[in-house]
Amino acid sequence: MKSDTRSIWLNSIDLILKRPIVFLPFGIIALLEYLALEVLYFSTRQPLSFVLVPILRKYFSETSVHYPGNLYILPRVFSYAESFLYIAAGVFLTALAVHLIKSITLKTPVKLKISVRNVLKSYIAFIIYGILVIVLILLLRKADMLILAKSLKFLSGNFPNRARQITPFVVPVFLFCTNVFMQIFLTATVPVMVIQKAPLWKALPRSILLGFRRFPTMFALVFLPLMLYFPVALMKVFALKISQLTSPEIIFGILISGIIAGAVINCFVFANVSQLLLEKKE
Amino acid sequence: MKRNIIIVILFLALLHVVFSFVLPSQEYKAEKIFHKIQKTQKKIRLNPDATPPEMVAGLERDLQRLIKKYPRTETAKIAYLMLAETYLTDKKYSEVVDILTIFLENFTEPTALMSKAHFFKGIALERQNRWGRAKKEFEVLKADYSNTPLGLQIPIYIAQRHLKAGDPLGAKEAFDEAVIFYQEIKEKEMGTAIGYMASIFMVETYLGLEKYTAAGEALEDTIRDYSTDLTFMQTIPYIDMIFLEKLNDTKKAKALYRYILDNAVDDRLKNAVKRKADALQSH
Repeated sequence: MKSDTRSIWLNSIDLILKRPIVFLPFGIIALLEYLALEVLYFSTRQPLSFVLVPILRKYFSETSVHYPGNLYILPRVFSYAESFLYIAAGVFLTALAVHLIKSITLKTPVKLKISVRNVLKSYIAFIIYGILVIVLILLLRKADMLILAKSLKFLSGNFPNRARQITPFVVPVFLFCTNVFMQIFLTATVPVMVIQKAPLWKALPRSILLGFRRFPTMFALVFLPLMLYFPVALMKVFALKISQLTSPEIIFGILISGIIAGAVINCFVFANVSQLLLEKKE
Repeated sequence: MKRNIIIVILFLALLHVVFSFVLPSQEYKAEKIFHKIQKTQKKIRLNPDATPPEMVAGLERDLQRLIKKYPRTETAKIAYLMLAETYLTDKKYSEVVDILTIFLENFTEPTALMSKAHFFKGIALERQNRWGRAKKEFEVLKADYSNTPLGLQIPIYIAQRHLKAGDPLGAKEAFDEAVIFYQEIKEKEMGTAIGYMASIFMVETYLGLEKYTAAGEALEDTIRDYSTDLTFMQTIPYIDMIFLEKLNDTKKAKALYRYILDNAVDDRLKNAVKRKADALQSH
C-alpha cells in the first residue's frame, strides 16, 4: 500500500510537470480568485468605491471603507468571494482538470474543447455539490466550536493559565484539521462523477465509502498534501497580528500566497485521487 | 505553457502596481499617511514623559505634510485638529491659533470637528491671556454649535472661568445666562442625548449658583424625563450631594431612590440603590 501511495504521488508530480495543461483549470480558478481579490482590494477607491463602499458599509462597518480597516476585513470578505467562485466555477474547473487527467492517463487525445463540453453537461450537479460542500464546512465549523467551547471551558476551569496560552493556537489548528479530515471522504466525488460517469447522488456515497474502505491511502493522498496548506491557513488566522507588526498590506500578500498554494496543492490532490480511481478502477 | 504562466503572473503583478498608483484616491493615500501618524501618536501616548522630542517633531512634520499634500480630504480635516492638539500639548499656542484659523477659513463641516476647532482655538487664546478673543471663539461655539457636547459645555466653562479668576459677579452673570441657555436647549432637545446633557448642565449651573433647591428640582426632572440605567448611575452622586449634604432632605432622596428601584433594569444597580435606601431608612 505504501508503494501504491508513493507511486501515485510520483505519477501525479510527473503528470503535472510533463503535461501542465492539467494545471490550467486550477490556474483559471487562481486567476478568478486573484481578480476577485483585486476588486476587493481596490473597493474603497474610485471607480469601484461608487458601487462597493455602500455595500461594505451596510454589511460591515464604517471602518471597513477606510484604510487600514479595508485590509483588516479583506480575509473575511474574500472568503465569501472564494465560496461564491468555488460554487460557480471551482467545482466545474476541477472536473475539467480531472477529465484532462483521465484523457492523458488513458492515452486518449487531449482536446480542451471536448473536455469542456463533456464536463459542462453536469454543471448544475457541480453547483449543487459546491453548495453542499460549503454548507458542510459551515456545519462542521459550528460543531467544532461547540466541542472546543466545552473542552476549553473544562481546561480553563482546571488549568486557567494553560488554557489562555493555548487557545489562540488550538482553535485554528483544530478547525483546519477537521476540515481537511472531512475532505478525505468528499474529495473523490468529482473524480467519480467524471471518471466513472456517475451522477452526484451516486458519486457522493461512493466517495465517502472510498474514504472509509481505503482510509490509509486516502489519508496519504488527500490529508497529507492538504496539510501543506496549514502554514498559509495559520498566517490567515494571525493576519491581523502580523499586519500590526509589519504593515497592513501584508494581508494582501498572505491572501495571494493562499491562492497560489491552493491552486498547486488542489491540483496535486485531485491528480492523486484521479490516478487512484483510474489505476484501481474503484 | 510554463512561459505563458510566468507572463500572466508578471502581467497581473504589473496591473496591481499600476492600479495602485493610477486609480484616483487622494483620500486613500491620505489615510495611509494618517495610519502611520496614528501609530506614532500611540507610542507617544503610552509614555508621554519619556517621548524623545524628535518623535513629537516627526509627528508634527508628518501631519503638516499630509495637510499640504492632500488638503481637501476628510483625513486632512482630522489632521488639522490632531496637529492643533499636539501644538496645544507642546504649549505652542500661536501655532494652534494659526493652524485653526486656516482650518476654520477653509472648512464648514463636519460639525464635530468644527466645534472642536473653535474650542481648541479658544483654549489657546485663553492660555495666551487673550481672554477677549478667546471668549469670542467660545461665543461662536455656543451660538452655532449648541447641539454638540463641546458647544453645550461652554456657558458653564465661561462661568467657572470667572470663578477661578476671582470674579464672583462675572461668574453669577455667566451662570444666570447659562440657566437660560440650558433651559432653552433642554426644551428644544427633549428626549435626545443633547437634551439630557443640557439637563445635567442645568443641575451643575444651579450648583454653581448655590441654588440647591432649584438644582434638586432640575435633577428630579432629569431623572424622570430620562429614566434609563445610565441616567440613574450618573445622577445618584447628585442625589447624595444635593438632597443629603446640602438640603438635608432625606425624604426626597428616599423617594428618588424608590423611583430608581422601580424603573432600573440592571440588578447590580438595583442592589446598590437598595443598600443606599436601606441605609437612609435606618437613620
